Amino acid sequence: MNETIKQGGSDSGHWLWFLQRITGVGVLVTISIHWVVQHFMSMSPALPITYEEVIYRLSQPEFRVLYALFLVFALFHGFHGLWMVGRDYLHAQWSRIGLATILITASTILFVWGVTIVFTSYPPPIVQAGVIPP
Amino acid sequence: MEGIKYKWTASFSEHFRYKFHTGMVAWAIHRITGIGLTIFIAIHIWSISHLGSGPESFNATMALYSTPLFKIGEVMLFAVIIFHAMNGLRIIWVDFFGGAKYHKKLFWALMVAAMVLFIMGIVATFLPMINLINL
Amino acid sequence: MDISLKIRRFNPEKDKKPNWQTFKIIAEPTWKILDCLMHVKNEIDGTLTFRKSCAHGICGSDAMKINGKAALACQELVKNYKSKKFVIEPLPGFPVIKDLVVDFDLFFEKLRKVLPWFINDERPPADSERLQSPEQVEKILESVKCILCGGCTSSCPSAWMNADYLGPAALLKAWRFIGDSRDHATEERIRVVNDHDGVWRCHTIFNCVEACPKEINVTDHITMLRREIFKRKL
Repeated sequence: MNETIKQGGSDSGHWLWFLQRITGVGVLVTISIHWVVQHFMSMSPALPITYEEVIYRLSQPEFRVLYALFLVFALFHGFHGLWMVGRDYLHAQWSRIGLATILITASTILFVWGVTIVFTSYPPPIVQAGVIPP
Repeated sequence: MEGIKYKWTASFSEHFRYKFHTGMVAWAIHRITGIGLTIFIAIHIWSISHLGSGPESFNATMALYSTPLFKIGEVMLFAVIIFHAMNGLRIIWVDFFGGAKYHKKLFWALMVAAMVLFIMGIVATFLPMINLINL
Repeated sequence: MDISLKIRRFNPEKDKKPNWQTFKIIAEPTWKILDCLMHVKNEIDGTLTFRKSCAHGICGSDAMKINGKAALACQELVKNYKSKKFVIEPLPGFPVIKDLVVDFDLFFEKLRKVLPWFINDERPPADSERLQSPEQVEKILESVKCILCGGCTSSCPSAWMNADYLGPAALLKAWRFIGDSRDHATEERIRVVNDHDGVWRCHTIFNCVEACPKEINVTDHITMLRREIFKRKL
Protein backbone atom coordinates (compact mmCIF):
# COMPACT_ATOMS: atom_id res chain seq x y z
CA MET A 1 0.00 0.00 0.00
CA ASN A 2 2.93 2.32 0.72
CA GLU A 3 4.26 1.93 -2.80
CA THR A 4 0.84 2.59 -4.24
CA ILE A 5 0.57 5.81 -2.27
CA LYS A 6 4.01 7.00 -3.33
CA GLN A 7 3.51 6.28 -7.00
CA GLY A 8 -0.04 7.53 -7.00
CA GLY A 9 -1.34 4.22 -8.29
CA SER A 10 -4.89 4.58 -9.44
CA ASP A 11 -6.10 1.42 -7.72
CA SER A 12 -5.90 2.77 -4.19
CA GLY A 13 -7.70 6.03 -4.88
CA HIS A 14 -11.16 4.86 -4.01
CA TRP A 15 -10.12 2.81 -0.95
CA LEU A 16 -8.18 5.62 0.68
CA TRP A 17 -11.11 7.95 -0.07
CA PHE A 18 -13.53 5.49 1.53
CA LEU A 19 -11.30 4.73 4.51
CA GLN A 20 -10.85 8.42 5.28
CA ARG A 21 -14.61 8.74 5.61
CA ILE A 22 -15.15 5.48 7.53
CA THR A 23 -12.37 6.32 10.00
CA GLY A 24 -13.88 9.79 10.32
CA VAL A 25 -17.11 8.22 11.52
CA GLY A 26 -15.06 5.86 13.68
CA VAL A 27 -13.29 8.78 15.33
CA LEU A 28 -16.61 10.53 15.88
CA VAL A 29 -18.13 7.49 17.60
CA THR A 30 -15.10 6.63 19.77
CA ILE A 31 -14.39 10.23 20.69
CA SER A 32 -18.02 10.77 21.70
CA ILE A 33 -17.86 7.76 24.00
CA HIS A 34 -14.55 9.03 25.36
CA TRP A 35 -16.04 12.46 26.07
CA VAL A 36 -19.12 11.02 27.77
CA VAL A 37 -16.93 8.74 29.89
CA GLN A 38 -14.61 11.59 30.90
CA HIS A 39 -17.41 13.95 31.82
CA PHE A 40 -20.14 11.70 33.17
CA MET A 41 -18.43 8.60 34.51
CA SER A 42 -15.96 10.46 36.64
CA MET A 43 -15.82 10.04 40.41
CA SER A 44 -15.47 13.77 40.93
CA PRO A 45 -16.37 15.69 37.77
CA ALA A 46 -15.43 19.07 39.17
CA LEU A 47 -11.88 18.05 39.99
CA PRO A 48 -9.07 17.07 37.64
CA ILE A 49 -9.04 13.45 36.61
CA THR A 50 -6.74 11.28 38.71
CA TYR A 51 -4.14 8.65 37.98
CA GLU A 52 -6.07 6.07 39.93
CA GLU A 53 -9.23 6.59 37.94
CA VAL A 54 -7.54 6.43 34.56
CA ILE A 55 -5.52 3.38 35.52
CA TYR A 56 -8.64 1.64 36.77
CA ARG A 57 -10.47 2.37 33.51
CA LEU A 58 -7.59 1.24 31.34
CA SER A 59 -7.46 -2.07 33.15
CA GLN A 60 -10.88 -2.99 31.83
CA PRO A 61 -10.94 -4.82 28.49
CA GLU A 62 -13.83 -2.79 27.05
CA PHE A 63 -11.92 0.45 27.49
CA ARG A 64 -8.74 -1.07 26.13
CA VAL A 65 -10.59 -2.03 22.99
CA LEU A 66 -12.22 1.40 22.80
CA TYR A 67 -8.95 3.29 23.03
CA ALA A 68 -7.11 0.90 20.72
CA LEU A 69 -9.83 1.45 18.13
CA PHE A 70 -9.73 5.18 18.73
CA LEU A 71 -5.99 5.19 18.09
CA VAL A 72 -6.36 3.25 14.84
CA PHE A 73 -9.15 5.50 13.55
CA ALA A 74 -7.69 8.82 14.70
CA LEU A 75 -4.12 8.16 13.59
CA PHE A 76 -5.16 6.86 10.18
CA HIS A 77 -7.63 9.70 9.65
CA GLY A 78 -5.27 12.42 10.83
CA PHE A 79 -2.13 11.28 9.08
CA HIS A 80 -3.83 10.30 5.87
CA GLY A 81 -5.42 13.76 6.04
CA LEU A 82 -1.97 15.32 6.30
CA TRP A 83 -0.90 13.19 3.35
CA MET A 84 -3.82 14.46 1.26
CA VAL A 85 -2.90 18.05 2.09
CA GLY A 86 0.75 17.39 1.23
CA ARG A 87 -0.28 15.75 -2.03
CA ASP A 88 -2.18 18.86 -2.99
CA TYR A 89 0.80 21.18 -2.64
CA LEU A 90 3.88 18.99 -3.12
CA HIS A 91 4.53 17.42 -6.50
CA ALA A 92 8.21 16.61 -6.73
CA GLN A 93 8.77 12.88 -6.30
CA TRP A 94 11.40 13.36 -3.60
CA SER A 95 9.20 15.66 -1.52
CA ARG A 96 6.30 13.20 -1.67
CA ILE A 97 8.46 10.25 -0.71
CA GLY A 98 9.96 12.34 2.09
CA LEU A 99 6.57 13.37 3.40
CA ALA A 100 5.16 9.83 3.18
CA THR A 101 8.16 8.52 5.09
CA ILE A 102 7.78 11.11 7.84
CA LEU A 103 4.03 10.56 8.15
CA ILE A 104 4.21 6.77 8.16
CA THR A 105 7.05 6.83 10.70
CA ALA A 106 5.37 9.34 12.99
CA SER A 107 1.99 7.64 12.92
CA THR A 108 3.51 4.22 13.54
CA ILE A 109 5.51 5.51 16.50
CA LEU A 110 2.44 7.22 17.93
CA PHE A 111 0.35 4.11 17.43
CA VAL A 112 2.83 1.80 19.12
CA TRP A 113 3.29 4.31 21.92
CA GLY A 114 -0.44 4.75 22.43
CA VAL A 115 -1.28 1.06 22.25
CA THR A 116 1.51 0.31 24.73
CA ILE A 117 0.05 2.79 27.21
CA VAL A 118 -3.43 1.35 26.73
CA PHE A 119 -2.47 -2.27 27.14
CA THR A 120 0.24 -2.08 29.77
CA SER A 121 -1.39 0.23 32.28
CA TYR A 122 -1.99 -1.86 35.36
CA PRO A 123 -3.44 -0.56 38.60
CA PRO A 124 -1.50 -1.26 41.78
CA PRO A 125 -2.58 -4.49 43.55
CA ILE A 126 -5.00 -2.81 45.97
CA VAL A 127 -7.12 -1.51 43.10
CA GLN A 128 -7.12 -4.86 41.35
CA ALA A 129 -8.79 -6.29 44.42
CA GLY A 130 -11.75 -4.04 43.68
CA VAL A 131 -11.10 -1.32 46.21
CA ILE A 132 -10.90 2.01 44.44
CA PRO A 133 -9.36 4.94 46.34
CA PRO A 134 -11.61 8.02 46.50
CA MET B 1 5.56 21.71 -17.17
CA GLU B 2 7.14 24.88 -18.51
CA GLY B 3 6.77 28.07 -16.59
CA ILE B 4 4.71 26.52 -13.81
CA LYS B 5 6.38 26.72 -10.42
CA TYR B 6 6.06 23.58 -8.25
CA LYS B 7 3.38 22.40 -10.72
CA TRP B 8 1.02 25.06 -9.36
CA THR B 9 -1.06 26.81 -12.02
CA ALA B 10 -1.73 29.79 -9.76
CA SER B 11 0.14 31.28 -6.83
CA PHE B 12 -0.93 30.33 -3.31
CA SER B 13 -2.21 33.87 -2.74
CA GLU B 14 -4.98 33.18 -5.25
CA HIS B 15 -6.83 31.51 -2.35
CA PHE B 16 -7.09 34.96 -0.74
CA ARG B 17 -7.76 36.94 -3.90
CA TYR B 18 -10.62 34.76 -5.15
CA LYS B 19 -14.11 35.52 -3.84
CA PHE B 20 -15.05 33.47 -0.79
CA HIS B 21 -18.02 31.14 -1.04
CA THR B 22 -19.52 28.93 1.66
CA GLY B 23 -18.00 25.76 0.21
CA MET B 24 -14.51 27.22 0.08
CA VAL B 25 -14.65 28.64 3.61
CA ALA B 26 -15.91 25.31 4.95
CA TRP B 27 -13.09 23.46 3.17
CA ALA B 28 -10.41 25.87 4.37
CA ILE B 29 -11.50 25.66 8.02
CA HIS B 30 -11.87 21.89 7.75
CA ARG B 31 -8.31 21.61 6.45
CA ILE B 32 -6.82 23.92 9.08
CA THR B 33 -8.68 22.24 11.94
CA GLY B 34 -7.68 18.83 10.60
CA ILE B 35 -4.00 19.72 10.68
CA GLY B 36 -4.40 21.22 14.15
CA LEU B 37 -6.21 18.17 15.50
CA THR B 38 -3.57 15.79 14.17
CA ILE B 39 -0.90 17.80 15.98
CA PHE B 40 -3.12 17.77 19.07
CA ILE B 41 -3.53 14.00 19.06
CA ALA B 42 0.23 13.58 19.03
CA ILE B 43 0.54 15.90 22.03
CA HIS B 44 -2.35 14.11 23.76
CA ILE B 45 -0.72 10.69 23.39
CA TRP B 46 2.48 12.15 24.84
CA SER B 47 0.65 13.69 27.80
CA ILE B 48 -1.21 10.45 28.61
CA SER B 49 2.11 8.61 28.51
CA HIS B 50 2.79 10.30 31.88
CA LEU B 51 0.78 7.41 33.28
CA GLY B 52 3.97 5.44 33.02
CA SER B 53 5.75 7.86 35.34
CA GLY B 54 3.44 7.17 38.27
CA PRO B 55 0.63 8.97 40.11
CA GLU B 56 2.47 12.15 41.15
CA SER B 57 3.64 13.00 37.63
CA PHE B 58 0.27 12.18 36.05
CA ASN B 59 -1.84 14.00 38.64
CA ALA B 60 0.40 17.05 38.42
CA THR B 61 -0.09 17.12 34.63
CA MET B 62 -3.85 16.78 35.05
CA ALA B 63 -3.88 19.57 37.63
CA LEU B 64 -2.06 21.78 35.12
CA TYR B 65 -4.73 21.04 32.53
CA SER B 66 -7.36 22.27 34.98
CA THR B 67 -5.90 25.76 35.19
CA PRO B 68 -7.90 28.55 33.46
CA LEU B 69 -5.56 28.90 30.49
CA PHE B 70 -5.85 25.21 29.67
CA LYS B 71 -9.56 25.21 30.30
CA ILE B 72 -9.94 27.93 27.68
CA GLY B 73 -7.82 25.80 25.39
CA GLU B 74 -10.12 22.87 26.10
CA VAL B 75 -13.14 24.92 25.09
CA MET B 76 -11.42 25.96 21.86
CA LEU B 77 -10.42 22.37 21.20
CA PHE B 78 -14.02 21.33 21.71
CA ALA B 79 -15.22 23.95 19.17
CA VAL B 80 -12.59 22.83 16.66
CA ILE B 81 -13.53 19.16 17.03
CA ILE B 82 -17.24 19.89 16.67
CA PHE B 83 -16.72 21.99 13.54
CA HIS B 84 -14.50 19.36 11.96
CA ALA B 85 -16.94 16.57 12.85
CA MET B 86 -20.05 18.38 11.62
CA ASN B 87 -18.46 19.53 8.37
CA GLY B 88 -17.07 16.01 8.04
CA LEU B 89 -20.62 14.68 8.18
CA ARG B 90 -21.51 17.18 5.46
CA ILE B 91 -18.65 15.87 3.32
CA ILE B 92 -19.87 12.31 3.82
CA TRP B 93 -23.40 13.38 2.90
CA VAL B 94 -22.15 15.13 -0.25
CA ASP B 95 -19.95 12.19 -1.26
CA PHE B 96 -22.31 9.29 -0.56
CA PHE B 97 -25.85 10.64 -0.55
CA GLY B 98 -25.95 13.28 -3.28
CA GLY B 99 -25.79 16.22 -0.89
CA ALA B 100 -24.01 18.32 -3.50
CA LYS B 101 -27.40 19.56 -4.66
CA TYR B 102 -28.08 21.31 -1.33
CA HIS B 103 -24.66 21.59 0.28
CA LYS B 104 -25.13 25.13 1.62
CA LYS B 105 -28.33 24.19 3.46
CA LEU B 106 -26.48 21.16 4.84
CA PHE B 107 -23.66 23.38 6.03
CA TRP B 108 -25.87 25.79 7.95
CA ALA B 109 -28.06 23.05 9.40
CA LEU B 110 -24.95 21.26 10.68
CA MET B 111 -23.54 24.50 12.08
CA VAL B 112 -26.73 24.93 14.07
CA ALA B 113 -26.29 21.38 15.34
CA ALA B 114 -22.66 22.23 16.11
CA MET B 115 -23.71 25.27 18.14
CA VAL B 116 -26.19 23.18 20.12
CA LEU B 117 -23.62 20.47 20.81
CA PHE B 118 -21.06 23.10 21.76
CA ILE B 119 -23.34 24.75 24.28
CA MET B 120 -24.33 21.35 25.73
CA GLY B 121 -20.68 20.45 26.05
CA ILE B 122 -19.69 23.70 27.76
CA VAL B 123 -22.54 23.31 30.23
CA ALA B 124 -21.61 19.69 30.93
CA THR B 125 -17.98 20.66 31.48
CA PHE B 126 -18.43 23.70 33.67
CA LEU B 127 -21.67 23.04 35.54
CA PRO B 128 -20.06 20.61 38.02
CA MET B 129 -17.48 23.29 38.79
CA ILE B 130 -20.06 25.84 39.83
CA ASN B 131 -20.31 24.06 43.17
CA LEU B 132 -16.58 24.54 43.62
CA ILE B 133 -16.95 28.31 43.37
CA ASN B 134 -19.31 28.38 46.32
CA LEU B 135 -16.95 26.45 48.55
CA MET C 1 -24.22 55.78 -14.46
CA ASP C 2 -20.59 56.34 -13.58
CA ILE C 3 -18.59 53.18 -13.23
CA SER C 4 -14.91 52.40 -13.04
CA LEU C 5 -13.17 49.37 -14.53
CA LYS C 6 -9.87 48.41 -12.93
CA ILE C 7 -8.41 46.06 -15.52
CA ARG C 8 -5.36 43.81 -15.23
CA ARG C 9 -3.24 44.64 -18.26
CA PHE C 10 -0.28 42.77 -19.67
CA ASN C 11 1.42 43.34 -22.99
CA PRO C 12 4.13 40.69 -23.47
CA GLU C 13 5.92 42.93 -25.95
CA LYS C 14 6.32 45.81 -23.51
CA ASP C 15 5.64 44.68 -19.94
CA LYS C 16 7.78 42.56 -17.67
CA LYS C 17 4.79 41.84 -15.43
CA PRO C 18 1.07 42.61 -15.38
CA ASN C 19 -0.20 45.95 -14.05
CA TRP C 20 -3.52 47.63 -13.32
CA GLN C 21 -5.20 50.28 -15.43
CA THR C 22 -8.44 51.97 -14.40
CA PHE C 23 -10.98 53.33 -16.88
CA LYS C 24 -13.85 55.56 -15.77
CA ILE C 25 -16.81 55.42 -18.11
CA ILE C 26 -20.52 56.15 -18.21
CA ALA C 27 -22.49 52.95 -18.65
CA GLU C 28 -26.17 52.03 -18.91
CA PRO C 29 -27.40 49.88 -16.00
CA THR C 30 -28.47 47.24 -18.52
CA TRP C 31 -25.00 47.02 -20.04
CA LYS C 32 -23.08 43.83 -19.53
CA ILE C 33 -19.44 43.93 -18.49
CA LEU C 34 -18.67 42.94 -22.07
CA ASP C 35 -20.43 46.09 -23.32
CA CYS C 36 -18.25 48.12 -20.96
CA LEU C 37 -15.10 46.44 -22.25
CA MET C 38 -16.18 47.04 -25.85
CA HIS C 39 -16.82 50.69 -25.00
CA VAL C 40 -13.31 51.04 -23.57
CA LYS C 41 -11.79 49.32 -26.59
CA ASN C 42 -13.79 51.34 -29.11
CA GLU C 43 -13.69 54.77 -27.49
CA ILE C 44 -10.68 54.93 -25.17
CA ASP C 45 -7.97 52.31 -25.65
CA GLY C 46 -8.01 50.13 -28.74
CA THR C 47 -5.19 47.98 -27.39
CA LEU C 48 -7.40 46.43 -24.69
CA THR C 49 -7.46 42.74 -25.61
CA PHE C 50 -10.06 40.14 -24.68
CA ARG C 51 -11.91 37.25 -26.30
CA LYS C 52 -15.55 37.54 -27.28
CA SER C 53 -17.80 35.97 -29.88
CA CYS C 54 -21.54 35.44 -29.45
CA ALA C 55 -21.91 37.94 -26.59
CA HIS C 56 -24.93 35.93 -25.45
CA GLY C 57 -23.62 33.33 -23.02
CA ILE C 58 -23.37 30.32 -25.32
CA CYS C 59 -19.90 30.34 -26.86
CA GLY C 60 -18.00 30.68 -23.58
CA SER C 61 -15.29 32.93 -25.09
CA ASP C 62 -15.45 35.82 -22.65
CA ALA C 63 -14.96 33.98 -19.35
CA MET C 64 -12.92 36.17 -17.01
CA LYS C 65 -12.56 37.04 -13.35
CA ILE C 66 -15.01 39.80 -12.42
CA ASN C 67 -14.84 41.18 -8.87
CA GLY C 68 -12.94 38.12 -7.75
CA LYS C 69 -15.15 35.48 -9.34
CA ALA C 70 -15.00 33.64 -12.68
CA ALA C 71 -17.96 34.56 -14.90
CA LEU C 72 -18.94 35.30 -18.50
CA ALA C 73 -18.52 39.04 -19.21
CA CYS C 74 -21.58 39.00 -21.48
CA GLN C 75 -23.81 37.61 -18.73
CA GLU C 76 -22.89 40.03 -15.95
CA LEU C 77 -25.08 43.13 -15.88
CA VAL C 78 -23.76 46.37 -14.39
CA LYS C 79 -27.01 46.93 -12.50
CA ASN C 80 -26.67 43.62 -10.64
CA TYR C 81 -23.53 44.79 -8.85
CA LYS C 82 -23.90 46.98 -5.78
CA SER C 83 -20.44 48.45 -6.13
CA LYS C 84 -19.91 50.22 -9.43
CA LYS C 85 -16.16 49.78 -9.09
CA PHE C 86 -15.35 46.72 -11.16
CA VAL C 87 -12.14 44.71 -10.96
CA ILE C 88 -11.56 42.72 -14.12
CA GLU C 89 -8.82 40.13 -14.45
CA PRO C 90 -8.01 37.17 -16.65
CA LEU C 91 -9.14 33.71 -15.44
CA PRO C 92 -6.86 32.51 -12.61
CA GLY C 93 -4.70 29.44 -13.08
CA PHE C 94 -4.21 29.93 -16.81
CA PRO C 95 -1.08 31.48 -18.39
CA VAL C 96 -1.80 35.02 -19.59
CA ILE C 97 -1.15 35.67 -23.27
CA LYS C 98 -2.19 39.33 -23.31
CA ASP C 99 -4.47 41.42 -21.06
CA LEU C 100 -7.56 39.25 -20.47
CA VAL C 101 -6.68 36.54 -23.00
CA VAL C 102 -5.38 33.30 -21.45
CA ASP C 103 -3.84 30.12 -22.82
CA PHE C 104 -6.28 27.20 -22.86
CA ASP C 105 -3.83 24.53 -24.05
CA LEU C 106 -3.56 22.65 -20.73
CA PHE C 107 -7.34 22.85 -20.29
CA PHE C 108 -7.96 21.18 -23.65
CA GLU C 109 -5.17 18.68 -23.11
CA LYS C 110 -6.98 17.44 -20.01
CA LEU C 111 -10.29 17.43 -21.84
CA ARG C 112 -8.85 15.19 -24.55
CA LYS C 113 -7.76 12.68 -21.88
CA VAL C 114 -11.39 11.79 -21.12
CA LEU C 115 -12.16 10.98 -24.79
CA PRO C 116 -14.73 13.77 -25.19
CA TRP C 117 -16.49 12.26 -28.20
CA PHE C 118 -19.19 9.68 -28.80
CA ILE C 119 -17.89 6.11 -29.05
CA ASN C 120 -20.13 3.33 -30.31
CA ASP C 121 -18.91 1.05 -33.08
CA GLU C 122 -22.23 -0.72 -33.59
CA ARG C 123 -24.59 0.44 -36.27
CA PRO C 124 -27.67 2.31 -35.09
CA PRO C 125 -30.97 0.42 -35.59
CA ALA C 126 -31.99 0.30 -39.26
CA ASP C 127 -35.30 2.06 -38.78
CA SER C 128 -34.54 4.68 -36.10
CA GLU C 129 -31.86 6.54 -34.14
CA ARG C 130 -30.37 5.19 -30.95
CA LEU C 131 -33.38 5.83 -28.74
CA GLN C 132 -33.25 6.88 -25.09
CA SER C 133 -35.90 6.88 -22.41
CA PRO C 134 -36.67 10.17 -20.61
CA GLU C 135 -34.79 8.85 -17.56
CA GLN C 136 -31.71 8.09 -19.66
CA VAL C 137 -31.79 11.59 -21.10
CA GLU C 138 -32.32 13.11 -17.65
CA LYS C 139 -29.15 11.45 -16.43
CA ILE C 140 -26.88 13.48 -18.73
CA LEU C 141 -29.10 16.48 -19.49
CA GLU C 142 -27.31 18.87 -17.12
CA SER C 143 -23.80 17.80 -18.16
CA VAL C 144 -24.63 18.35 -21.84
CA LYS C 145 -25.04 22.08 -21.24
CA CYS C 146 -21.32 22.76 -20.69
CA ILE C 147 -19.94 25.42 -23.03
CA LEU C 148 -16.29 24.80 -22.08
CA CYS C 149 -15.81 28.38 -20.90
CA GLY C 150 -13.15 27.27 -18.40
CA GLY C 151 -14.69 29.11 -15.45
CA CYS C 152 -15.00 26.01 -13.26
CA THR C 153 -11.49 24.67 -13.69
CA SER C 154 -10.11 28.18 -13.35
CA SER C 155 -11.89 28.72 -10.02
CA CYS C 156 -10.85 25.40 -8.49
CA PRO C 157 -8.24 25.58 -5.68
CA SER C 158 -7.29 21.94 -6.36
CA ALA C 159 -6.56 22.89 -9.97
CA TRP C 160 -4.53 25.90 -8.82
CA MET C 161 -2.26 23.74 -6.72
CA ASN C 162 -1.96 20.79 -9.07
CA ALA C 163 -1.36 21.15 -12.81
CA ASP C 164 -2.01 17.42 -13.25
CA TYR C 165 -5.53 17.51 -11.81
CA LEU C 166 -8.02 16.78 -14.58
CA GLY C 167 -10.28 19.50 -13.24
CA PRO C 168 -14.05 20.01 -13.05
CA ALA C 169 -14.64 20.59 -16.79
CA ALA C 170 -12.90 17.41 -17.95
CA LEU C 171 -14.58 15.36 -15.20
CA LEU C 172 -17.97 16.78 -16.13
CA LYS C 173 -17.34 15.87 -19.76
CA ALA C 174 -16.34 12.38 -18.66
CA TRP C 175 -19.68 12.01 -16.88
CA ARG C 176 -21.50 13.31 -19.97
CA PHE C 177 -20.32 10.22 -21.83
CA ILE C 178 -20.06 7.69 -19.02
CA GLY C 179 -23.65 8.44 -18.10
CA ASP C 180 -24.80 8.28 -21.73
CA SER C 181 -26.66 5.01 -22.35
CA ARG C 182 -25.72 5.08 -26.05
CA ASP C 183 -21.96 5.34 -25.49
CA HIS C 184 -19.77 2.22 -25.20
CA ALA C 185 -16.43 3.52 -23.92
CA THR C 186 -17.44 3.69 -20.25
CA GLU C 187 -14.63 1.43 -19.01
CA GLU C 188 -11.87 3.40 -20.75
CA ARG C 189 -13.12 6.69 -19.40
CA ILE C 190 -13.52 5.31 -15.90
CA ARG C 191 -9.93 4.16 -16.04
CA VAL C 192 -8.89 7.73 -16.93
CA VAL C 193 -10.86 9.46 -14.18
CA ASN C 194 -10.23 6.84 -11.49
CA ASP C 195 -6.92 8.39 -10.58
CA HIS C 196 -5.40 10.33 -7.71
CA ASP C 197 -5.32 13.30 -10.07
CA GLY C 198 -8.77 12.48 -11.40
CA VAL C 199 -11.96 12.30 -9.35
CA TRP C 200 -10.08 11.69 -6.10
CA ARG C 201 -8.37 15.07 -6.14
CA CYS C 202 -11.71 16.88 -5.76
CA HIS C 203 -12.27 18.11 -2.21
CA THR C 204 -15.86 19.26 -2.80
CA ILE C 205 -14.90 22.90 -2.46
CA PHE C 206 -17.82 23.92 -4.74
CA ASN C 207 -16.13 26.91 -6.40
CA CYS C 208 -16.91 25.32 -9.76
CA VAL C 209 -20.64 25.37 -9.00
CA GLU C 210 -20.46 29.08 -8.14
CA ALA C 211 -18.53 29.85 -11.32
CA CYS C 212 -20.62 27.95 -13.87
CA PRO C 213 -22.61 30.36 -16.05
CA LYS C 214 -24.89 27.49 -17.13
CA GLU C 215 -25.69 26.70 -13.47
CA ILE C 216 -24.46 23.14 -13.79
CA ASN C 217 -23.75 21.57 -10.41
CA VAL C 218 -20.33 20.26 -11.41
CA THR C 219 -19.47 18.93 -7.94
CA ASP C 220 -22.66 16.87 -8.00
CA HIS C 221 -21.45 15.20 -11.19
CA ILE C 222 -17.97 14.56 -9.82
CA THR C 223 -19.46 12.88 -6.74
CA MET C 224 -21.75 10.86 -9.01
CA LEU C 225 -18.64 9.70 -10.86
CA ARG C 226 -17.03 8.73 -7.55
CA ARG C 227 -20.07 6.72 -6.45
CA GLU C 228 -20.16 5.04 -9.86
CA ILE C 229 -16.49 4.04 -9.59
CA PHE C 230 -16.87 2.90 -5.99
CA LYS C 231 -19.87 0.72 -6.88
CA ARG C 232 -17.92 -0.93 -9.68
CA LYS C 233 -14.84 -1.54 -7.56
CA LEU C 234 -16.71 -3.18 -4.70
